[in-house]
Amino acid sequence: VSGAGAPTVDDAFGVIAHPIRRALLERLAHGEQRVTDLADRVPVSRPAVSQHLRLMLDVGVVTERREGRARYYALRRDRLHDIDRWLAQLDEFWSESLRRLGAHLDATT
Amino acid sequence: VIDGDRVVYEVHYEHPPDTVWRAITDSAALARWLMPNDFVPEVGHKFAMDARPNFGNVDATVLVVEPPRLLVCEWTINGTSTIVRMELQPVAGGTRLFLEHRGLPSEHQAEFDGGWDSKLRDDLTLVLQGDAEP
Repeated sequence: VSGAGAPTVDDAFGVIAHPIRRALLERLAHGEQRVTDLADRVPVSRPAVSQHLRLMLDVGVVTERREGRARYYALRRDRLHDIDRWLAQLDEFWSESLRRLGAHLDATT
Repeated sequence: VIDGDRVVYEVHYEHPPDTVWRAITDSAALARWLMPNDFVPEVGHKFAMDARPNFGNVDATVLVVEPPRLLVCEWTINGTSTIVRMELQPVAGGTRLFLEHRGLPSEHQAEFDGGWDSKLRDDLTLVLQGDAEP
């Protein structure tokens, strides 16, 4: 299994483009998790999990907290709202365009 | 209408499928209702659209052309690959257009067993909606 993936990931869309990261998000949706607990839940090695978490930390969709030797990760839900907004924008775009298509059809026949 | 990770529309037009097909595959017609473009309805054709102010420039590729029924294109928006599918169905009094725009990439899903896919999708939708258990 490749690591965090070749293309540069710099936003929420890149984060959810990988199934392992989606699985990690799913776990984190239930609350703060230790790396070891997260690693038990996905079918890849712990270094790979750490690499994905590092990337998610860089993008800002998770936060990291150290307690002794353990590292805890938590979800930053607000950073995922970019995706909601993007979909909402697409929705509005199509709604407007399809209305214009109707007007175009009416005008040309 | 947003449905999970995609936008879907079902629209009725009081014009026959051939007319609607022309409107969704003719470059000049597309420019009037969609965006300025250099679209050609040939599989593999690469084209660009000017989607300002919504999305900037969109680089696109024609994937499927089955006149007058099905048109599928890939739109790359801000580096994100998305799939736009338009299907026409003849109905009494005109044409029904089914539009589907898959907004989120879902590659690598073959790495998982089938069961994981829907689970991840459902759970992710919960995450995105902010409804998941805290």
